[in-house]
Amino acid sequence: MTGLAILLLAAAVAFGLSKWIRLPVIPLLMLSGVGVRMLAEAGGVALPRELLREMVELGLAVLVFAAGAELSPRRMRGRTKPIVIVAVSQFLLLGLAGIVTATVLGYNLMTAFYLGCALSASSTLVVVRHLQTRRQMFEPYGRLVLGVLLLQDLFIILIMVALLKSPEGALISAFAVIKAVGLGVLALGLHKWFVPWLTRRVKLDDEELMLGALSMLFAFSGMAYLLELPFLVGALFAGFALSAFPMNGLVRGMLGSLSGFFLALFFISVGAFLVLPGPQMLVHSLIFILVLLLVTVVFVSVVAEAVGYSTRAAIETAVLLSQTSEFSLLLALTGVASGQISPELFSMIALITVSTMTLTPFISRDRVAWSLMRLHPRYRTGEQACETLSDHAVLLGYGRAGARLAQYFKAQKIPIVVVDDDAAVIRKLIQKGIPCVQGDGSDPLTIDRAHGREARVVICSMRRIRDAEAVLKHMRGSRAKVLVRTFEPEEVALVEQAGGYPVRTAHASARTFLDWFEENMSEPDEESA
Amino acid sequence: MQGSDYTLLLDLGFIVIGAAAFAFLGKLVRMPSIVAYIFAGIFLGPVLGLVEIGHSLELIAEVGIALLLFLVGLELSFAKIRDVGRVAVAAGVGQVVFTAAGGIVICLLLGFDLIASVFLAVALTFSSTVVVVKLLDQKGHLNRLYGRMAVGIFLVQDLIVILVLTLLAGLGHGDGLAFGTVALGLGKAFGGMALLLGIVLLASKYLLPRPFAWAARSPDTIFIWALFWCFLVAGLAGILDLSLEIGAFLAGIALAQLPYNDDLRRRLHPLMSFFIAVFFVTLGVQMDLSAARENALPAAVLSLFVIIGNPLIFMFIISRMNYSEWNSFQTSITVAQISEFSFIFAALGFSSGMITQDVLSIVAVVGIVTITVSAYMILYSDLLYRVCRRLRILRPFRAKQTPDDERITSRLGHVIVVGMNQLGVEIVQGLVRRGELVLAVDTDPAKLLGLDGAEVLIGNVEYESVVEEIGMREAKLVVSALQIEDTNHLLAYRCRKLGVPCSIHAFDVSVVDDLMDLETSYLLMPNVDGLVEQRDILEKEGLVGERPTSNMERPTLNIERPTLNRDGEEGGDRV
Repeated sequence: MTGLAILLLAAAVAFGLSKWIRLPVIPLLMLSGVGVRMLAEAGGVALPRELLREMVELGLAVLVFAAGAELSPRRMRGRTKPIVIVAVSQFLLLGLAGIVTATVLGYNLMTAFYLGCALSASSTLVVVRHLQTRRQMFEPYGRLVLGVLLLQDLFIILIMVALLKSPEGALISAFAVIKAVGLGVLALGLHKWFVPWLTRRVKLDDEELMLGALSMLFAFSGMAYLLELPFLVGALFAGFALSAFPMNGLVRGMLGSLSGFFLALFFISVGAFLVLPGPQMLVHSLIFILVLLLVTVVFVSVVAEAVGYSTRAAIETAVLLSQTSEFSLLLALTGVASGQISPELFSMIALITVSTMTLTPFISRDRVAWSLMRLHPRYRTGEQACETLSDHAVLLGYGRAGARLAQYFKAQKIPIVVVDDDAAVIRKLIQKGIPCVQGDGSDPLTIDRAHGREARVVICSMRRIRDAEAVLKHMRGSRAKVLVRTFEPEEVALVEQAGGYPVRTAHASARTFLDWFEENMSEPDEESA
Repeated sequence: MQGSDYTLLLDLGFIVIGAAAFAFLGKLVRMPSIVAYIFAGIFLGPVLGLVEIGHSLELIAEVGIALLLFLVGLELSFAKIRDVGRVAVAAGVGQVVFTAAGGIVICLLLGFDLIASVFLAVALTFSSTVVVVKLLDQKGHLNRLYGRMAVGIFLVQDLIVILVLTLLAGLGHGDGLAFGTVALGLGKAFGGMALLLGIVLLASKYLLPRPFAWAARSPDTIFIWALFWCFLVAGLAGILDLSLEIGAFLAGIALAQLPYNDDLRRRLHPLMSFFIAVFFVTLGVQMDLSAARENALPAAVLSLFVIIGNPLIFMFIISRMNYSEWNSFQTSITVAQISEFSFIFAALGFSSGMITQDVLSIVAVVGIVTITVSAYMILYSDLLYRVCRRLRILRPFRAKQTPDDERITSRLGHVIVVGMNQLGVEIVQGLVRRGELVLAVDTDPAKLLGLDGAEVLIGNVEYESVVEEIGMREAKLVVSALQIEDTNHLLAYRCRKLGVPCSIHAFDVSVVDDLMDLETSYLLMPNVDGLVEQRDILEKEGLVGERPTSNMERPTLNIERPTLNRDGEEGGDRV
């Protein structure tokens, strides 16, 4: 119990620091683990290695299981083709880049292969958690990322299984892959038929649901063990089996609290086991991290945009996938256990994994995506039609409502100009023959290129209120009326003071709802009164 | 991490799968889950020999106990404890004395020697905090008066157990029952209790409120901090030679005074359920039934004494303290089993050579029988009460017939609004102005401030316990202003199952079809409504052509909002 209390103390410190200095919690948990080990060594106290090892195993099983439960193929409806293209491209390109880099750095072919595979898959744990925290699972890029993760997890599992058995010969290796596929097919069958049937037919309370879900985890892990496959393979498939709606929703709350507990203990334990590799390996780690970041960000964003996503979504996808996976750790462990790679290489892969997981929340911030968007080539063709415009409507930000607004103004016979910073959106507008300007809508130069001050109306749909403030400031004194979409009461006051017209979205929606409520939910005697 | 044989995972796997299988089978005969878990443990351990209890499993079981008592503490405030302090001490001490005395007499009559009789009587005396709390939690009655009384009584018993174990340790050290040893043991126990209580009270008032208020907006942080606090105080209790249960309970009490204790409790509940299931299975695994058949008669007699005698003793004491017959009965029913301490106590006696294997087996059999029977008694206590009243069994106790003053909150015909973003707040305010009973729910306590006229609750609607607490079944309408697809889908699904209309935020066109499949009555579509608002402003300001007259067709935005009307018929508003 004392060991557990110490681990929880380390976790409490990490979480507190995370909130205080607004840093992601996972690297702080690992640092806490390192701190626990250093303090134990300094104090001459033996670490509870057995407890730590068991927390790593149990924690990893629960976490991978919980992540698997979020990988529902239903989320990918209508997007299968782009997902397959992006997933396969990233996997192959990164794998190749990893192998080539490793070869250039002097590693043998087998080691290079391990390094390539370790680099090529992204972390389901980190990414799913990130999307959940930022509530972006439903966004187009969120769905793309989840689909890519699902496929990559399948790829890496099969490769890992093949590598694990490769010393025993090609036939055994192939048979092991077939066994893994068989386990996956069983999970798919449960996902499609058994779990939905169970949900419809049997009423389970919270405790029964939780036990049932965990039974699935242990049953699949047990089957993987009996089939001589890594247990994490079973854990992921078990989670996948439960990812169908509504089961995944019903278990999410329970899994959330278990995941929270084991997340803390797992990363603390990993940190406690972490050993820094030597200087040469440190340099090599940095090189691999750079390769991973460059290849992923550049190539994945190009491929994602090519399959039809907006520039912003493509960049966000690429950035979010820029880390190695917990399966990379397991792959490395497998290699060490079979003698195919050295323990030092495991440390290097662990360092790459820890570092890239740590970097993910930083590089997936909005300002990074915006900065990268500025590197995208600009399309100017759409600006030509703006030269002669006046008394028109300017849309700052196309977004989801842009198409409808464009149609509406067209029906009113009012010409429009669209301003958007997303190159893919501009490209589509040019194809449709709509005058457009690529650039930041809050930039006065961009507004002038769209002849904003000569327009009759400017509709500002930008996300941040300070961008809208910049627009209003530039538009002061012009005859154009500026409508600004607002979400908070303070924003309404700001817009009105600056001379704009706030579009109170939430207020409008609440009003419409209350009208419906009055008509449909009020009691009949209230109505007559 | 190399060369792992995954022992813990394998053992846990057997335990979880066994628990699940027995729980599902037990559901067919309405067996309480605790009983199912114990039988699962007996099956996995004594019968099949698949599981052996190692250090890690013991740790997991202990964690379960700590979390269970921590949750109990979280439920109670100091005011609620003061309510039941008097009856807890009186009933707890009184029952120990009467049961021990009665138990010794019965054992002597059954032919046991004095030492064995004392051991058996002491083993029969204590009731199981863990079993009862789990069952009351399952019934949702932990917060009822009788639930609090029962918990108070068991915690008093826990203190007495510590004294007993101290005495036993003294006997084991060869000091015998020397006055000095006993006095020192007593002093340490009471002193330790007072010290721990003092630390917890001070922490509750001066140390915990501000950090937890700061962390409140980060559910993960507050969750981990609460766990750390629980194990810190439990660890302190261990250092002071007090039980883990007392430490965890006091840790919970310290946090019970904070406004987010309910949300914390709900978040911790699934974790506790997992660990406590492991505890009960391991209890079953450790049962030694080797000499059960030869000792069936004494085991049966002693079981009856516990199942019938303990409740009668309690009924007598509690009804004398002017509690209603119903509350007295409900509290008394909870003591009809022996405790896990009984097994520990008997095991200690056996290992020190003071009792034989036969006595140990009797304790095990009495344990299984009384836990099984009392679990049914507690879960079906209302039915049992009606039967006892009909048979006039309770008359001799002359308990008060009028109900005790107990406030039970229930809601009916209210509107639940989930998610206090600006949309949610506007809806709450609008509904309150219309005179509706509104319950606003959010996980962030800061967002629930300033909602005058509405009741508020901090909670995550993904948890079934929150769904029960908000009275979704009795609601007039459930509204979700959240922008979380999965939570919204789950809410709509639950509403459909309960037959309650719902209105869900369709923040993106990709979620509309799913929400309509789930029979959502009304889709909140701020994007659409914002467009309509924009159009209205454009028209009002004369920025778009002529204002439409009654003869003109108004230009549309060509959007349809699907709805279900009062009669559940599909329709649509075109804008």
